[in-house]
Amino acid sequence: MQSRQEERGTSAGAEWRWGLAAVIVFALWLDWPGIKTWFSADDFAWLGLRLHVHDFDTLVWALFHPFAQGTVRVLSERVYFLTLSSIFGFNAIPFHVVTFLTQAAALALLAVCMRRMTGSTAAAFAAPVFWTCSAMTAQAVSWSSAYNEVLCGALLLAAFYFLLRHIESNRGSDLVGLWICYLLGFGTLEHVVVFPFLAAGWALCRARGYLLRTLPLFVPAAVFAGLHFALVPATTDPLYQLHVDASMFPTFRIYWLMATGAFRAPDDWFAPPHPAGLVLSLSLSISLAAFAAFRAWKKDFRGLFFLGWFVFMVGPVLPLRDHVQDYYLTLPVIGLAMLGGWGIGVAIENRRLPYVALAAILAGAFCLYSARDLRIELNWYYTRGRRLESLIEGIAAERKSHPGAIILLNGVSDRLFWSGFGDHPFRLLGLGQIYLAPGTESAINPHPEWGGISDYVIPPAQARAALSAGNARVLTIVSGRLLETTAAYRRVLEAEMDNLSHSIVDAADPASASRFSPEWYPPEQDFRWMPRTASVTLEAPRKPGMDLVITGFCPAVLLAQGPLHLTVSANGTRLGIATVNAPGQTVVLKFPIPPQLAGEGPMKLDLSVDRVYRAPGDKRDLGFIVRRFELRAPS
Amino acid sequence: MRRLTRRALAGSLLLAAFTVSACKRRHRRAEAQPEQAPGTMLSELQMGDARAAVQLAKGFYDPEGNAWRWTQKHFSVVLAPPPGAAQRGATLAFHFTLPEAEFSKLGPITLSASIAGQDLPPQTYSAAGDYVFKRNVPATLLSAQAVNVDFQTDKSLPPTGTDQRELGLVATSIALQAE
Repeated sequence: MQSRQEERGTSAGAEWRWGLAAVIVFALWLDWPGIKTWFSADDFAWLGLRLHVHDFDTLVWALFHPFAQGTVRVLSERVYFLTLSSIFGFNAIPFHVVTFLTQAAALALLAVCMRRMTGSTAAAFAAPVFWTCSAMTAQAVSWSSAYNEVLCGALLLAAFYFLLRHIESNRGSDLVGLWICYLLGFGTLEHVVVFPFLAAGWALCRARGYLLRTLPLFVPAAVFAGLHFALVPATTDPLYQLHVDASMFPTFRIYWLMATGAFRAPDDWFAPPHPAGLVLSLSLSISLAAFAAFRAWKKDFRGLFFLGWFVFMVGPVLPLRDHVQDYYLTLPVIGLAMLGGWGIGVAIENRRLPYVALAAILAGAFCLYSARDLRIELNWYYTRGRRLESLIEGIAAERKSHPGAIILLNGVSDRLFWSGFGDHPFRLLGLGQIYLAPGTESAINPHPEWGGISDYVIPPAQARAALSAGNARVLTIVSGRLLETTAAYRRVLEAEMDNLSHSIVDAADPASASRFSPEWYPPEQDFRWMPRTASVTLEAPRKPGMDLVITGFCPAVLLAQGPLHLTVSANGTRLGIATVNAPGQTVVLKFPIPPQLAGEGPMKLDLSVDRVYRAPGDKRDLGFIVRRFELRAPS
Repeated sequence: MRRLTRRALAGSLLLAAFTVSACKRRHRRAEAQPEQAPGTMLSELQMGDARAAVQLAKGFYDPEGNAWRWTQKHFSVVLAPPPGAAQRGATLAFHFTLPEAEFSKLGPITLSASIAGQDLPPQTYSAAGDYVFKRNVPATLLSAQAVNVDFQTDKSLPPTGTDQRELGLVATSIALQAE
């Protein structure tokens, strides 16, 4: 027969396990839309990695070559995607199962760490609940490319758990466990370099005798950081440029407000905070800060440690001023969840109604508010993934029923395009020759820093020829529906091309960039500078009697030595010489196009000016500013 | 035994969850084939009408509220001339809104249009509100099965940090109406 104490221990152990299970089931329920979410954006680049692996050398390259802003996250990206895509292919569910199981382990580790750090069962359960409810975890649990956050979090918490055990037991095996988890963390996310600060911070707060033992942890972090900056080439992506300056303070403010619930949607981070969210954020900020300060005044620095967790964890992303992302807060908010959980534990232990009530109100408001936001975000990601999945399935079905035909996509929005097209998901299914319907690319921000849209742009004449020959199919996307519209679109394109007034090439339009010869300088606002000579290719007028109209601008400094002369030829035939003598004004130059140049196909325009100008400090030869080329019926 | 039961229960729950998920995926795949749209061209394009989408050739964003779309500064459509238009001509009617939020930033906006390459008289709008841009179109321009209509505003709202779109007007419908 068990003694009463043993019975209580068994009962407490069972309650603890059931409590943990309840937290994980709660997380499963809350994150469910994310678990169902399909792939998007960077996922397709990682899914395509296995296409490059053919032998041992290419496997080593795939595992260790720096990708994605020069990162080498071997475990959380390379092994994760290579393994699961090799086994399950294009099926997103196994990826999310692995992600959720990892997150479940992290939640359990957070609970056991909290129990050891605070001695409070309430705190141990509250912290993972707060972390689960945080809307900032939405991407981490729904986007496979953010698995690095989840795995890094689990390993950091595991390392921290071993640290706590080692401090309690002084066993060497716990130290080994700490080091293993910590070192594995370097294969997940760069944030792991922060762990030594956390370990040292906890030792300072609660176990100063162990502070020296945390110092060796700084060595791998320093080596990793040194190697990272020495070996990995700096990214050219403007979004990922580091700004180590005063801008880090406003960036920190944004992250703090996001973490405490002031912002409601990813697109609104830089807009004024939602009023109700701001009230919640301020209430939580004041309460947490007051609680941590009060405990510190009582010589208990755990609250400061939890706040420090947030600060240290968010620190590495503060220099990324132009790339504020909610999933960057996945790990920092663990610190706030710990502080909030401890606050709940202390309130319950003190059994003072005002404190319990205040803690319950704040915790309830945060959970309800943030969980609602989390669900909104998860459903948004789910819908986005679902649309992309439907589109790709629809394209695959169309290709199957019409093999060999090119596919023109009409109605692709900017958001849909950048949710996946940029990373070429179609190649993963062996689908090639997929283009945007001519003209529709203008609705898409070209983002050259992300690879641009040129792979999906097809010249109108080529599209028309394919449609005429029956070698093209057109799919139109309307509110998530996919319509087969080949017959109607063929008439639309014909009308577009027949309408010569539509033959407009804007100099700064990224969709027209390929029409301009390399001599042109890059677009500025709505114009381009040409040097002494340059050329541009338009579609030839299909009917005779049309004018070429060039809209440009001539700064006064260009005319200081007299009028400027612009000579224009088309397919080798001189169209004329225009005299520009209106300083500082928009000029519209018309050139009649000889009838023999009418017809189908490209028309190459050669432009030259008789004089160029060099501005002080500018090495460019500046000839003339062009805003637009246009074919127009004479007015 | 109890532990085994719990594990079995947990396993069953997970299995059930993924079975439900798998069922949904099978259901989705049955929907994958694109819907067949009618090949006929429309004379009137309602922005919320899925059938009209293919004729919005350039410069339109996704439909909102199933009723309207933001345009870019330049936008164009392709319309089927209504019956008899090749003999009697037709009226181009563009229903749109100039939102107060846009007008307060840009001031008066001039809308110009051309059809089949011929410019139509522009019009300037000096207050926010709902408008109909109406122009007579001569029969000589409407002999084809489909005609292109280009629109252009002289100003537009540039992209901002929260909205990366260039915004012209709020379009509701564009039509060629029989005379």
